Amino acid sequence: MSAIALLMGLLVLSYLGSLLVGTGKTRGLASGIEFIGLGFAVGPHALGLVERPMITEFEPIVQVALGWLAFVVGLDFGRVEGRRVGTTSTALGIACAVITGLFVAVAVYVMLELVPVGLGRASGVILAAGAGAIGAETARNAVEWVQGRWGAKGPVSSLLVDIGAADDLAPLVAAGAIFAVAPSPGVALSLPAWGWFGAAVALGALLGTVTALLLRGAEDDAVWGALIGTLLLGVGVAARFGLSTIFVTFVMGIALAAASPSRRALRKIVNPTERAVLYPMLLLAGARLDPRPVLENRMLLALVALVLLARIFGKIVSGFVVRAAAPAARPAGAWLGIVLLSSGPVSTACGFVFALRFPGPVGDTLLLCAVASAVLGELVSTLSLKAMLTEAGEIVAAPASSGAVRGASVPPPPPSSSSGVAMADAADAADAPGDEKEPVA
Amino acid sequence: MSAQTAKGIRTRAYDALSLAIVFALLWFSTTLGPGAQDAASLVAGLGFLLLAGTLTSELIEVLRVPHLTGYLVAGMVAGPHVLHLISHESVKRLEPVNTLTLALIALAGGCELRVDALRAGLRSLAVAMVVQSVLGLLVVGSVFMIAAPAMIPFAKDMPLAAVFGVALLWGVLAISRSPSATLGVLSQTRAQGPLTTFTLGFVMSSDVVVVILLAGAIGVARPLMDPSAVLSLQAFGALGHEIVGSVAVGTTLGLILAVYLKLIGRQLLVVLIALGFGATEVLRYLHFDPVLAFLVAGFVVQNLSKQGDRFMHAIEGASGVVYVVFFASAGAHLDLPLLKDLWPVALLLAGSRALVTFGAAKLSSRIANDPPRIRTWGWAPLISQAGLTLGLSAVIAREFPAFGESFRALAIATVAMNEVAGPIFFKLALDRTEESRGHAPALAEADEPEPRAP
Repeated sequence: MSAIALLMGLLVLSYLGSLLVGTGKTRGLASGIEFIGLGFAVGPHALGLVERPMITEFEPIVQVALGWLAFVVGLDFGRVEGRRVGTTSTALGIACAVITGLFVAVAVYVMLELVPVGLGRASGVILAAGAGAIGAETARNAVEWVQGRWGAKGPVSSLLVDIGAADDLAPLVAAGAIFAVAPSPGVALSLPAWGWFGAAVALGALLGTVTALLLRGAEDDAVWGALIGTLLLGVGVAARFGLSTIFVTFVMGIALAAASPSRRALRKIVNPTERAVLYPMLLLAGARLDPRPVLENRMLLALVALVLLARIFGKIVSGFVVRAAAPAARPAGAWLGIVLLSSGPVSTACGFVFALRFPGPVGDTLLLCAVASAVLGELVSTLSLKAMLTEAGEIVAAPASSGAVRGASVPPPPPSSSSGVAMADAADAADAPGDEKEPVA
Repeated sequence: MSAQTAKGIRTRAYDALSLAIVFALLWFSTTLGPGAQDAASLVAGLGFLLLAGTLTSELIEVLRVPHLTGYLVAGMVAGPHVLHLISHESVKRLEPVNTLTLALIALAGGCELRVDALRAGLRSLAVAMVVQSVLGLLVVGSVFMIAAPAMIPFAKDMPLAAVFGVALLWGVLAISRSPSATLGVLSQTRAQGPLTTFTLGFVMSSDVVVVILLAGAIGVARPLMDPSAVLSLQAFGALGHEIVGSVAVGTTLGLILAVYLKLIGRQLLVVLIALGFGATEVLRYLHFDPVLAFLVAGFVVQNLSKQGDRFMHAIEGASGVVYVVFFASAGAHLDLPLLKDLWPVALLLAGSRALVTFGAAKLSSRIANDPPRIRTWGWAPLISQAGLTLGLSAVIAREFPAFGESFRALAIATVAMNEVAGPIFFKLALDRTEESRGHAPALAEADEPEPRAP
């Protein structure tokens, strides 16, 4: 397959993704693993239609796509469907991600200490920390997918969406911190890890502010130029120093949302691009997936299994924490943590940036961990979430025949008007008094 | 972000500060970071060109020069000949952007050609085309011949017949215009009026005329330089195949686009990118001219369907970003050391071309009895030269390897001058004739209040 053919394939995926905006949240699988599977199938380790050098040739596009996804997450951070996520939900989301990430990282680190897998100490630390970053997330897409497909509405589902939206912070910050430990070799500047981390934050914040300045009074046509220009510069500079591109653009998105008076208009024009960028990225992630290191070294395979187990354990503990802290979550039952296992774009993006930055066993294993987490979440979390929400009374059981028809073809009503009200109510119920709300314009 | 937008000192200061930050970031990255030829450098360079081009154009707007000049200046300053912030390799790797830009330019150019307007100005266009082509070819070719023994190193030792052949090729090069610069300036000014219509019609159709003339000139010049060669009509056969094939494919593409716009009409950005890369590749594989095919496709959408305005709007939306990168990378690509060496002869040739363009425009306007605007300013849009001319010089270099590279170097030096000066004259003409229009709505104007859940 030629580079142009691959590009056309990616554009077709992008086209399909952009067609699904708005009504497409329930189409396909919640995590998008079918695109990863497709990428793997056409990639160099299966059918071989896309060869490794071609994937390398597309690396700049991949870096930019990953950066764009993190930028969109940053720009919309702390918001769901246009409303602001309460402080309590945000804190819970971050706490859950940190708990799970720590479980995974410590488990991997201990295993690497006990069982030699042929990696150096520094690589081992990066592998353990990277696994923690990748294992931390709960994908809000999965909850939204269930909400959309079965019309779930109520305090539990809206709390889960909020948690899923807030916990993106942890893996992205973790990626920023881990990359700061290992800047590019050959950089003519010596800084401690915290210095590089600070540099990444400063770079993102600076570019976000510059973007806000550029957008002051900018014509509609010039907006894309400013956004794409600052994003490219941020990704390029970060990549040259070996900093985490997704962390820099995530900070950039947050800074832009904070500094620009046009933040709402920006979100409106940027959010629809998410799927158009996501699907090609997932396909390339699948094509980049290299199972050989794991197949050749059985201990790495065991490590992937350990990551999944630790993630399950961490999420179960997180579920208990959520139930203890948020009364709205109590109807969810003791196995709330299982439904938090869903994993999606942020984890895959994290895995992909690790694979690009640390090629070889470390990067390949981490990308495999991300994909395995997504598969596990898809198998376990989505259906258990549906069962849990049905039990909690947030999904009204439909007659078998109509349910079958509905599930098969007809997209459910988007959770906008009435369900949006319910979510806002639920958030108000779940959050402590005094949470900051979006001012009414 | 247009000339019509009144900007305060504070906004200018913000622009200057942002430009300083952007330069500083790339400077730090280039100075302290490893590997100037890696993918990260390419991405950073692309982002820099986009930002620095936009900001420079905003800052020099006070001089009433077109944005395009700002893009060129930013690229030149940051490029491999001045500050070395962007390497030669990065500039070369940005060539796919040029492919996309040329496709968009051609589609937009075709879309701008309306049959009724062309029919109304047909006499004016035909007279201008003939007068500009004949006088341009004769006068600039003659200047080249006169200057050759004293000022043009590669032609000094050539026999007279060979010099005549090279002068003929140079004459054809001199009558080529710049569709990209034309559309770049029109995209900024959103101009409308007789001068704009005349310019679009002339520049787009001259593209086809020049390609045909070049094929003829190559056929004539070859036996003059190589006595063993004979005048061959083979080149015309291939050219005919290329032109007819390109028109046929372009018509088909235009009809498909019109149907798509009518029945689906969504995600035009993705469609345009796919056309820019995918269709260009297919057309090259078929040995057709992508620029001509896209020009025809745009023309068909505009004139054989009701989707022209919609399509044009989509192209304008996509072209904003690519124009900046295209011209900024062209600025970075300008070979300033070469210009330093060749500036006297380049200035002579560019100056004589500008003068003959001016004179020919006056003469053709008088013959065709053009309206006053075209009579006064009809020459101004025809000074610019850019990618098309460089492409033609590359063809000549390939056909005549004995002197081709030196010829191409001289063309690059001349184009550099026309590329910088031409858009300034064109913008001046549009401003003076008041064909420039207001700016597009700002982001803040589109910023509606976000609905809040009760």
